[in-house]
Amino acid sequence: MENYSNDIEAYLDKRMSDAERKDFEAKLQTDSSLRQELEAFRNLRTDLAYLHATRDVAAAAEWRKVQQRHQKRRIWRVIGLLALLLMISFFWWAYFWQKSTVVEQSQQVPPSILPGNEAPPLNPAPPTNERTPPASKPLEKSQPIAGNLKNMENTGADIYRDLPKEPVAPQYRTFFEGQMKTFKPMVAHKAPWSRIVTALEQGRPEQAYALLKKMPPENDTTIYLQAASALLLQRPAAAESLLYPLITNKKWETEGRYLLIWVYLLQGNEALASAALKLLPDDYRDKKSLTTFLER
Amino acid sequence: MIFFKAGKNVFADEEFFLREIHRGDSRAIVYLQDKATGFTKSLLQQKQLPQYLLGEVLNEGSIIFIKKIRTPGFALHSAKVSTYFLEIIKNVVSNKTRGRQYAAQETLENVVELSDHSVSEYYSRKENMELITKLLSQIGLPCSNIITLKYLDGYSDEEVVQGKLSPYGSVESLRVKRSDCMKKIKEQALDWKTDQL
Repeated sequence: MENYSNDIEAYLDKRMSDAERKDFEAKLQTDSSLRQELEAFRNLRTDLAYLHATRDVAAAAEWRKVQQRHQKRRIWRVIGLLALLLMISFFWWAYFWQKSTVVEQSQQVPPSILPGNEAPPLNPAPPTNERTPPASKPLEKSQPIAGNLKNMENTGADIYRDLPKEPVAPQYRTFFEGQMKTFKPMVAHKAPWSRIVTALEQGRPEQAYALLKKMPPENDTTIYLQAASALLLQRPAAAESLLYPLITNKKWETEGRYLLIWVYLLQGNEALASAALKLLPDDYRDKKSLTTFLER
Repeated sequence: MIFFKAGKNVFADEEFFLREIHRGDSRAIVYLQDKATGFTKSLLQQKQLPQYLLGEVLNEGSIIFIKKIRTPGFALHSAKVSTYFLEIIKNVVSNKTRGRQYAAQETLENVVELSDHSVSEYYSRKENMELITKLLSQIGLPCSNIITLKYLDGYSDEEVVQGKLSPYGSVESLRVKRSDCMKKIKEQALDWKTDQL
């Protein structure tokens, strides 16, 4: 049998001239084996055409997968970026919120001890009748009595760093604030304590506390005034830690015990306060008012 | 899940879109499939066929469509590319329905009448395609190379010679060799089928 495969390819590709085509078609009419050969070639080419299309579709499917992977990666990148931005915003907000809250608190809380030059009354004001059953209320966070931290002069001190807020018993707090309006420290108006004593008498314990930082730290007067400042700032625990070593000194024993009574009251420990009160001389400061208040 | 709609604006022009599909451009094929996804899903649902057939239907439809548009003398006759593709999808789904005997409840009137034999031709040749792939891998060089270049990669004979993609220096010698290779592969296919019988 003649090899017509080249002619068949040329015929199927339409590469033949008119004369060649007519001649080939004439052969097809007479030669059945050539017709079969042509049909077989045509089938093979159709199969190859489908194979070609299949390969293109497979390549498209692969391309789709790659694109989806890229898309997913892009989505995760955006999510990650958003999460990062959210975290940064959160920390930014938390930082400034905390800062502004501290400033606002210091600006909003009015001084509980009003500045004044009047001498303490001989008979301190009677205790108020606002006493409520102890232990019924939870301890509250303390606020500075005279808390305008912005007006602190000559200080670089940060009260909130040195003396963190402490919980105080709300039922004794009003009484404490009332009594402490006229508190006068047991230190004479003499250098170097004069400004500190004045600050405490005028209800500026935060200023006194800041000034005390410049004083000799081992001095018992410094420790006493620090304890008094801490107490007036309603930091009972801080005051207590200063007072305990101080009361071993004979000179400060009675005054130290007196301040400890307030420490116990602010901490809500009425029993300790009553016990410590008994150790005070009868006419010491406002012992009578304290006794009356505790007896009620 | 479709994460993207490839080439939404790129393929707005129908002629360009068809040309790119004809060329076998992956982005164009994916765009065509994406356009038909919603329709195919609802069609599968309507025919009570499982949704996992979606990819298979779209791929088979694409193969048939690409083969069809590569047929010499093909014209869309003012039909849209996607509309033509959806018609093929309908036929592919109908074929699946019959294949899975889901059409048992359907009356003959309900079965879509196939006016085009492309779909049935594709299914009848699926086995042949697998055989050709196998034979192409077995036939060795240079036959596998020169057949692949023309019929699977779409190169013209002139491009093959100019680009020196085969060892043949002239178009004529390339054609003669390829005709021999085609005859060889055709005979091997015939032998394989005879053995199967």
